[in-house]
Amino acid sequence: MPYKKHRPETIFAIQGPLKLATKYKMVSLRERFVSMLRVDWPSELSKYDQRRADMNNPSWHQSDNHDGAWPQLCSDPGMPSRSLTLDASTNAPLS
Amino acid sequence: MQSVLPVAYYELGTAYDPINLDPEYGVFDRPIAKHTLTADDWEVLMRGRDFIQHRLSKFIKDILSAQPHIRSDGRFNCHHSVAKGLDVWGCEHTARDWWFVHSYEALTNINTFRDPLAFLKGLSEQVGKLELCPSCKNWMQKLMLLERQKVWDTLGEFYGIKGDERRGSSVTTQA
Repeated sequence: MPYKKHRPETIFAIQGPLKLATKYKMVSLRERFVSMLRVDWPSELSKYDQRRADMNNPSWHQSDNHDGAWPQLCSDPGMPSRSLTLDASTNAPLS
Repeated sequence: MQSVLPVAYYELGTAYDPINLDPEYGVFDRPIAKHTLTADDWEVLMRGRDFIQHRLSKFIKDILSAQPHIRSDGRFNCHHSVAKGLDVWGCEHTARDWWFVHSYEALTNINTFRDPLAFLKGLSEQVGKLELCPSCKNWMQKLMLLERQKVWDTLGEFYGIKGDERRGSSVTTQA
């Protein structure tokens, strides 16, 4: 399931599948979706710092990995809050 | 998902207020659509901000009276104190003068509490430019970075997120 990190559309793209994966207890698939979110909102400070550094580095935005799309994330109005909305329906624990 | 939420709320806290931006601390204009937030989201966000402000204010005040540790010979672990045989902290004036100015600025600057991770990182970088002995410089930078890591590790508590899996990741190794 290829995807590019730090893309504003990621959250929108996986919202529906993540809900389904949670509802039908597709553990590995759900974990894969959650891992995508973890890349964008890392749990380690060093990774968060790296992300912030990437955001402030103009050359990073122009690299092949990100095809200049990252600036959209910086100004994407729904990005942070969308994650919170998503959580309300996908946070059911999976054993 | 629980591990994502504290960071998402933190990001939200740094992004929602487009005024008073301070590029020195890496804060950038990233406004959000406030209308997409629920009342609960706002409550969590404000709770987190209150906790962060309280925590950071205490750190800023505590550091005003902080000193490097005392060596076994009774002297401060400061190159100037040791080299000159001083019984006082050799770098005290430089360190305290700098901190008095910055503590006042920090407590009156909204960006301090909006993005404490950037604030503390900025402070540690500024300490590196002070005319302190290597020991005191290292000690002060560690203070800033240790507090920074603690803030990061406590984000889940600040926002009242139960089951935050990020706690206790690497406090000692970071500083």
